[in-house]
Amino acid sequence: MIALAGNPNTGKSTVFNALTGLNQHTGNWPGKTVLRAEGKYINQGYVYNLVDLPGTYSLLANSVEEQVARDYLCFGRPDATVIVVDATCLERNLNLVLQVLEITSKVVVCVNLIDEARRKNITVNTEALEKILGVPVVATAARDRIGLNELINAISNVANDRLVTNPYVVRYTEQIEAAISKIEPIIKELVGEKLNSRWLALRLLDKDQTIITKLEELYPQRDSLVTKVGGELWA
Amino acid sequence: MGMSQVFPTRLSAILTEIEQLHPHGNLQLNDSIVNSIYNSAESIAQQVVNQNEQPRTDWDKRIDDILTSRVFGFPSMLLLLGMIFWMTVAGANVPSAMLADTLFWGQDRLTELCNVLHAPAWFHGLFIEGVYSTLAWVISVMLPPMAIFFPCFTLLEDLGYLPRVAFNLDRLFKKAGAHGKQSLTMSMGFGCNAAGL
Repeated sequence: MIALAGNPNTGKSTVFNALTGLNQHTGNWPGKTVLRAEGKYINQGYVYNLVDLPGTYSLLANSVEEQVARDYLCFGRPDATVIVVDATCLERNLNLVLQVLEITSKVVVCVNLIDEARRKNITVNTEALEKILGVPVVATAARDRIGLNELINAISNVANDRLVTNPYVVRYTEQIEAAISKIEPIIKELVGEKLNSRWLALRLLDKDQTIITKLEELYPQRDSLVTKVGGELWA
Repeated sequence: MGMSQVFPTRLSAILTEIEQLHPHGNLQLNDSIVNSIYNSAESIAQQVVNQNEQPRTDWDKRIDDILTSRVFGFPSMLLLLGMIFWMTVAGANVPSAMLADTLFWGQDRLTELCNVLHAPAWFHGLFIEGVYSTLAWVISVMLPPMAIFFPCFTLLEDLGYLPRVAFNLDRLFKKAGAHGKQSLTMSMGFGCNAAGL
């Protein structure tokens, strides 16, 4: 299961179509992918299910799209996440990349629209970016199918754990870091390795009600266990 | 994994712990988090992105600057839309007249045919003066403007000008509680109110 995330209007759907050979509607306006689209492709005998998430600028605020994307990345646990970024305005796109890296380490960054960037005389040093972010970075021009093979290889490396990533970690203020270091261990006790405890710690510190609700569903309190037995939680 | 598993730490315990860590929940956490992320993104971008000095003349941006500027935005927009309007109205007159002439010449011939065949008056009235002439009017009045207007609009749309019109007008429309995009449907409405709605 591969998730496809990215800012609006960076060509996520174009990448999606190029990979799957499907012809989902692509178009140059924001909010085009409202519901997530799914498709599959086969590479070296493995079937990859690709999920096209709605475009978002961040995962922090509370629009529906952001929540859909965030919940999927966090609780859907895709085998790899491809973040499509626009080479012509990398800085804005990196905000999302950093936020995704907080949630999951199995990430491939796809620097799309590299042809457009070249036209505007912008060069992106993908090797340096790869070093800093600690995850594979692939330059593509999905419209012309440039770089797609590299992207497919990078995805399979990450999804099959052939490549261990070492994602960049955003450091917060001392106060916040101190609070994180206090509650991260106890969150880890609760969720184990299944969810990213550092990220959960942050969200809980932020009193993110949607996350709390979600966790209550996943980890019911003991007194409410009786009623939840037989639920679909561990299905 | 079974439901019988007892979780070592309960969620409520964690929440209490958090409550103790910052009692009022107002460390301005969100702002601080967003700030840290933005700063990181900025520094990374500076390290890897290289915007070469003196980029080639960026026509996109230049034209954009003119078309959406404060000073020239509105005049150029009015001019362009006015031109299309004028082209549609004036340009449609000639083919309209030609179509009308042809079609009504056809009506005359049909009338003669009816006379030759001694068709009853109601037949002539219903089919020739009713159906045929209505159709002739509609076609000769509507078809030419549509044949001019829609290709023009499509062209503008493909050039990406229409979204810029929407951008220009967004502020005005917002005051009326609407969205800039609606200017487009409104200008369609000049052609035919049904389409505009």
